[in-house]
Amino acid sequence: MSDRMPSAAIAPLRPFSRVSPLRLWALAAHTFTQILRMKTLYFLIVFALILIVFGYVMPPPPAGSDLSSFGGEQELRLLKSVSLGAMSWFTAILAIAGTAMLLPRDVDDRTLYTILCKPVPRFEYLLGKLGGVILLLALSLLVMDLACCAVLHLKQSSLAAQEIRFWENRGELTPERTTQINDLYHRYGLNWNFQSAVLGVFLQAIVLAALSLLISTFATSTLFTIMAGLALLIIGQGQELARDYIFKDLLGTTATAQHIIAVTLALLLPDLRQFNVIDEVVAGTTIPAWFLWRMTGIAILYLAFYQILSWFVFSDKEL
Amino acid sequence: MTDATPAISIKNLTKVFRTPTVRKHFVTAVTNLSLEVASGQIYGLIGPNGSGKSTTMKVLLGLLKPTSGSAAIFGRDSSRVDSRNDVGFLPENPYFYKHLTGAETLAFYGKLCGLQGAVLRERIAEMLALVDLEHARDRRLGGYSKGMLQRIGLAQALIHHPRLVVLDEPTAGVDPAGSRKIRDLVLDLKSRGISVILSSHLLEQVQEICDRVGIVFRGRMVKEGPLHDLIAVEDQTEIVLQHATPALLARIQQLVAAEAAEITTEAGQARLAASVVRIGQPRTTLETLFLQATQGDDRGETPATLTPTTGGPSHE
Ligand SMILES: Nc1ncnc2c1ncn2[C@@H]1O[C@H](COP(=O)(O)OP(=O)(O)OP(=O)(O)O)[C@@H](O)[C@H]1O
Ligand SMILES: [Mg+2]
Repeated sequence: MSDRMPSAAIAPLRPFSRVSPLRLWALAAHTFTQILRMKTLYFLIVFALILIVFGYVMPPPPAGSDLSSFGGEQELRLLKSVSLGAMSWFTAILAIAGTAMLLPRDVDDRTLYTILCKPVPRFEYLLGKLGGVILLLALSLLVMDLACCAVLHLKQSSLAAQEIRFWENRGELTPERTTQINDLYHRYGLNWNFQSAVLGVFLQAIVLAALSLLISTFATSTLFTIMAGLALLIIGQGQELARDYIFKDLLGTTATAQHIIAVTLALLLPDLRQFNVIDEVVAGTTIPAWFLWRMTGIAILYLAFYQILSWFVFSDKEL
Repeated sequence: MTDATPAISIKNLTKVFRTPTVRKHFVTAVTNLSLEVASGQIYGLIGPNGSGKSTTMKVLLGLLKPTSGSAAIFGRDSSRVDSRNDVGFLPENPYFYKHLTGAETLAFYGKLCGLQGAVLRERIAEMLALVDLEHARDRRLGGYSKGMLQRIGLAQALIHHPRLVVLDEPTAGVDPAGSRKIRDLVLDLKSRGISVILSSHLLEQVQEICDRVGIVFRGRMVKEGPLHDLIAVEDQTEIVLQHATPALLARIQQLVAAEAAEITTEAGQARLAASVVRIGQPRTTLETLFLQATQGDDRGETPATLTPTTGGPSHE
């Protein structure tokens, strides 16, 4: 029977690598299409509508007699504030809701069996999932960013042109005034500083995605993951009461038990205010480079922390 | 056997599930189960619903952790990721990503196994041809029938040239012709030196292709050994005739009856008279064995009178 066949036909053992970029990429790319198929693109359409409403449907500025009454800068500020705010909320919700469904869906459909029975370490699976989410967030943010930039640019040039024409008509246009007008609109309009705020929005979103993935490794329902994620988003964005309670009152106490709780909470509840520079950018304050680096570093630390925790929970999970 | 390391070695495996109820409630799915599959063998795992076949396979693939005991693939413990390098798995009622096409599905799993580029493309074409799904390569799995899903599942299990294939009910939901094709495929794997363990409720097929069979009942291995030893019924002889005419059959029956009459008239009845049990197409006896083995009490003991004498080693 079985010894009829020589085992020479058996393929030699393939080398196995603990970390494989190919596998990671396959998992991430697949996760990307998976979230894309959850109709997440509707988010972008809603975003575009908001942009159009605030960019064009808003009433034109009243023609005043002097520069300060023009209100052009106000309009740019409003547009920026609204679009960055919308970007921030959309990517945050996309990060939480999109990630929350990934694991439960694979478990329910039992597609997870077919993946984990391949030589795929569980850590890599989680990393691949997160990678796919990050990819999707980056791309949707890029689209939103480009749309914002285009609208801002158009708005800014038309406002500047309008004002220059105004002074021209009054015969009071001097080269200094032209420079002044252009500088002003540049400061409140499109500039690199705007991208600092977008970076903050991105970092906030990926931290939330990692957190949502962590919750989904032990949560019993997707709804719970989403609700918990949203709660953490609201707390993290600085509902003053909650934050003050945790970070000032609890951390400040001398009782060790409370102190430990506070430290744990501080680690588990990301302080999302660190990524929020929207107000500063809208006000026209330039964000220094060191601050951006710090922000990025903090986000990476959170990401690593959440991934390791997720792996801890997931590696022991019975499927 | 040139390769001494067994393809599968499961030792004293016990798996207890903790069900998430208020009171502590445990379900013992597998109890002290041991089995070994030699390299190049086809092993059939049979047993009634809920007897622990799938659980055993999931432990083997590291999807579940054993409560006690161990499982190893080619000598590597199942808890190690690299043990999965050598094994392809078709889960029961496989379900894949609906939005992917057949070719995309194979590409995805191929990449997870480290295949890429031209090698991967070639392998995908090869696998699609093997399971006869070339016509559906660019159709989404959402539109696949149950049998097609089963076949794409088989293809994904084989994509990385595994030395061992674990098939959990490979023919469930597949029509007779397709089922036969899968059977041929398994035999083909064997001829290429690939070891196979499969579970199935189609005992006839198990009997046809397996070298060794294990019958599990309520989580315990109740009968295990080489198929031929297990199903041999020593006091019966089967005559299989081709192109037999009704007249010939009648004469055979007459012969048997004549001998029986002879013995009964001998009065003493020192030996039993032969009798025609049935004449017809050969029927599975594994089925009989299965029913016997799985009708006992919890300990899986079968009535002694029904146990066929076996020559092979038997666990428990
Ligand atoms: N995740 C789980 N949690 C609790 N109990 C489980 C779990 N998985 C399986 N079981 C139980 O373990 C036992 C064995 O199940 P298993 O799926 O291994 O049976 P099986 O032999 O594959 O049956 P079938 O022929 O129906 O596929 C059953 O009683 C089942 O209810
Ligand atoms: Mg089963």
